[in-house]
Order: sequence, then C-alpha cells, then structure tokens
Amino acid sequence: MTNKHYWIFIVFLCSIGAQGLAQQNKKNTSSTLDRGWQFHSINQAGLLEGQIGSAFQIQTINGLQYRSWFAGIGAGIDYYRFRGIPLFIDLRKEFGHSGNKFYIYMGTGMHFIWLTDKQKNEFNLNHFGSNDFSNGLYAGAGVGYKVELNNQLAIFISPGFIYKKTEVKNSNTICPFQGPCYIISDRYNFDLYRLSVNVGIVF
Amino acid sequence: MKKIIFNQHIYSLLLLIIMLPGCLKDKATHTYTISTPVYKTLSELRLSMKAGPATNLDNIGKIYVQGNYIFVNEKEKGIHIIDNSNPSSPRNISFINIPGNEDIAIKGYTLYADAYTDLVAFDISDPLHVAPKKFLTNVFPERGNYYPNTNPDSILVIVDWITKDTTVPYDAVPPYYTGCPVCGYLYSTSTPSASQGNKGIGGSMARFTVIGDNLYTVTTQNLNVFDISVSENPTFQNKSQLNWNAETIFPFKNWLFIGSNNGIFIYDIQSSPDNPSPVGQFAHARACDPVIADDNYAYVTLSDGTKCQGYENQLDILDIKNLDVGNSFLAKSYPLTHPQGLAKDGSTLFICDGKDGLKIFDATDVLNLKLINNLKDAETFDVIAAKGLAIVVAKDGLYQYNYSDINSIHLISKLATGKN
Repeated sequence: MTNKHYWIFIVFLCSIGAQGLAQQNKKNTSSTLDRGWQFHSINQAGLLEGQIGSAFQIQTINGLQYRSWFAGIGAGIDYYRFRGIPLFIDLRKEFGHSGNKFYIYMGTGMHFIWLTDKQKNEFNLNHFGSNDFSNGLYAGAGVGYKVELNNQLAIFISPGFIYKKTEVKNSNTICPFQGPCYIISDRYNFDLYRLSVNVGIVF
Repeated sequence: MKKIIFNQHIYSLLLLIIMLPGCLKDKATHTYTISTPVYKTLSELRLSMKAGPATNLDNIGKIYVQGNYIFVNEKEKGIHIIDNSNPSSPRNISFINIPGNEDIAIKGYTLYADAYTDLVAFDISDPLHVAPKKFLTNVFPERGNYYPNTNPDSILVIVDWITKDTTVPYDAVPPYYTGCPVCGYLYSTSTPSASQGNKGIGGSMARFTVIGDNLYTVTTQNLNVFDISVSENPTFQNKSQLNWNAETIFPFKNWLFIGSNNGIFIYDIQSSPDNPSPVGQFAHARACDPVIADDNYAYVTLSDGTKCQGYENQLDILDIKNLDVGNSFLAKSYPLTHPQGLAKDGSTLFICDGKDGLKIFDATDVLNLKLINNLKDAETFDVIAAKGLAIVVAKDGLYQYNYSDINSIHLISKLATGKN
C-alpha cells in the first residue's frame, strides 16, 4: 500500500467510528434504557513494547454489547517488527455495576502483512531469489478499565498481550558447474510477543 | 463529564504491566537447506542414460518437435517424450534420463543431446526404448570440469543432491541476512533459437541445430561443428572461438544467426559448411537475445535477467535484405515486458513475453506490428509455431494453441508440470 492508501485506510477507520456513533445516537431512544443489544465502536491507539523495542498501533473494534458481554470485529495497523493489518474477532466481559468498569478481553484472527519498503529490502539481499512473506495468526488478550463520561461516551486504558506470527521464505535454484540444479531455501519464522497499552474511546 | 476515579483496579493493572515484560521474548527460527552431493562414476551414469517410464514435467526448458513427437527438456535431468498425435490430448510416454542435459537436436531417428561436457547420440526409432549410440567426451568443456582424464570408470560425477533442512534459532531483532552463500555458482539455463533442419523444429532458445549433415552447437565461447552424415556416429569437425557469450543459434538459408549477450552474429555456412565464417553482426546493449529470421528481417528479443544482466526488454527487428554483402541495420524496436522465445509462421509473429504470456502479432508490416492477441494463461518461455499449432513452454507446463483461425486462437491442451 502507498501513503495514499494509508490515509484512505485511516479515513475508513474514522468513518467506522463515526458511523458507530451515529447508530448509537439513533438507538439511544429505544435501547439504552433497557440495556439490551447495543452497538458499540471501540477506537484505540496504543504503545507496543517487546523485545525489539517500541512500536505503535491503532485499532477500531465494532460490535454488539449485550449486558456485560461484547463481541465485535476489529481491524487496525500494527507496526511491531513487520507492519501489518490485524483483522480479528474480539470478545470482552465487563465486571461491576457502576459507570466505571473493569473488563477483560481476548481476540484472535489474522495478521495481514503490509510491509514498508525498508522491511521488504531486509530480506531481499539475494537478488536471484524470490521472497514471500506470509500472513499469520494474530491473537491478543488483556484487561482494561473503562470510565463512562456520559451515557454515550467512555474512555479506557487497557494493558494486554499481543501475539502475531509471520514467515519469510526465500528460495533459489542453484545450478553448479558440476551436477544437476537444486533448490535451496531459507525460511524464517517469527513468533512475536509484545505488551500493549492502549487508550481510547468507546461510543 | 464524570470524574475519573482511580481505585484498586488501577493498581491491579499497574501490577500486571510490571509483571508482563518477562514474557516478551520473541521467538524466531531460521530453517535453511544443506545439500550433499551424490556421486556416480561416469560409466554408471552412461548406463542410466536411456528411456524409462514417463515422469512428471517439472522444470522444463527447451523443446524440439519431430513428427508427431515433442521432445521437452527437463532442465539438467533429461528429455520428456510427448506423443502429440492428438494435440488436444498429448501423452507423456517416456523420459530419457540425461544428467546435465540442456539442449536437443534431431536428425532422422537420431537425437543429439548434451550431457554436461559430453555430446550423446541416441537412437529414437522406438521412443519407448531410446538408447545411446555414441558418446563424444569433453566436447563442451565450458559445461564443466569433471573429466580430468578419459577413463569413465574413474570419473566421479555428481548426479543428485540430498537436501536436508536444518533449523536454528534466529535473532528476531535484526534480520541480518548475508544472501546466498553459493551465488558465485549461480547459473541459469540458457535461451533459445529455432532450427529447421531435417523436418524437426527447435525452439528459438536452442543452442543446437541440424543443417544437412552437420550439427552446429554454440556454447558461451565456441561454435562447434559435428559431422552427422552417419547419424548414429557423430564426429567432431571444427570449433570456432566466439569472443562473446553465445546463447542461441538459428539457421536460415545459408546463414547461422547466433544470439549472444551483446549482439547478433551472422555466419555463412554455404561456402564451407564445416567451417562457418562470420559475415556480419549487429551489436546492442547487454541482454539475452534469441533470434529468428525470415527472408527480409531478423527478429531479436532482448530481455533483462539474472544471467544476462541487461536492462532492456524489447523486440528488435533487423533489416537483412542485403545480408549477402554483409549489411544489416535496425528497422524498428518495440518495447515488451520480458520477452523470451519467439517464432514466426508466415506473417504471424509469436513472442513469449514472460509473465505477460504469449503475444501474437500481425507482422505483415514490420514497421507497424499489430497485436492480434495476448494469451495470458501462463508465464511463457519458448514457442514453436507451425501448421496452425503453437507449442508453448511455460513455467507451469506445456501449452498447445490452435491458431489455424488467427482470429480465434484457442488453447487445445495443457500438460501441467507435476502431472503425467
């Protein structure tokens, strides 16, 4: 993706949030009072801290809440080690009856590689070979604390773990002066774990 | 706005943040291939050079058509024999094991193939029982150096590699990759040229061609002539040194067109077939360049690539009307994507344009080629076109197109790699 696509994606995320807010307002009159099914949009930005250092991520998670349970679909941009776009299912459970609530969450899905040019070049030193970066599992879990500002808006802080997996493959056909050609391959597997601390707002 | 209240939950979160970093070590592994050579004596190797059961097409290279059969080179391993009596349903009937094979030419019932530094003549009168008739040792010294003596029982030849994957921990932090450790040996197989000797037709990427009673072959540095007046008993005749990296050879009328890294070189074979003499050349930038010709023009494709190190991807059309007096000049160039082999039947020009597939042009007016069709079924490498049938070697198999109606070219069969 180019920078242009990047900004289109950001606008897309914002529009999802805005849409969520609009739907929330629409439903306000009918569903807020009975606390039945409610649409929520969780939008967060965070710091990722792992073995290789710090990175940034943004995410939007949109879904439905029923009483203390929430289920939604999330997407974002994750810059840790290899830039990518996680797409995942998110489940969370709130505790407490007051406006401010403690919650736990977990999510799992796929991490779709979206490499920067610099990252592409890291594994492209062998000009004769071909490189493949594969998408991999994405998972996360953590806890959070949500503070309701009013009936429609809350802010939160949420530490947790995130895991993502990716694989880099490089292969070459070698034809030596003696003997038949053969294929050599290099395969790098990355299992990346990091701590995340997110802050955000819930519509 | 409600007031934000810090309570015991916040302290719990902070405690978790302090405890979690111990689990943050990334895990990375590097799995790489270790290849160990398998040796045979040259005598053992020669015993195994014969037809056996058909094997899957895998890494296919050059092609040669003779009668109802298509001979398809399996790079460095041998030759597939395809019974093409019914082009819409070709049958892969046998495989000739020829370690080190890259090129093919045929005269009558004798097939000539290189086997590393050797030239081997096979009797193909029965395609299911092909057997070698003669070995010419060390005639292509550029292809290897494993024949320091002439006793085939004491010469060890690498016939295979046993590969084993090894996995080691890898530092996830910097992907410090030094590249391929054996790239100094990297060598991609060469390219095309079409031959038209003795009814058989070779692809444009060929380095062997048969004209009359001579077999002409090019290596990177030499033009070799073999006397094949007795088909099963080829004898080495002559060698001319070429001071450029020759890649392909194409016979037309009384000339041999030799494509090289840095130009097209034309040799006369009329005055002395055993000793071709240079009559002209057309130099260009460094690139791979198979060439074909008709009465008035030569068609050369230039492409960039790992071996050729060129930077151009185009078709050059050379005017050779006055080649008799050693005169040729560039008529026109056309940009292409990554052109490889090419063929011409009448006024129809076929060009394998790499990942862009097969392009078919109306070449009635060479100064104004018109694209008739662009078949993007596969990444194409070489093509033979004759009698309304275009046989195309592609990365994923052998394709055959019917072009008897040029406005309705259609795929009639595909022999996919990995399948019999």
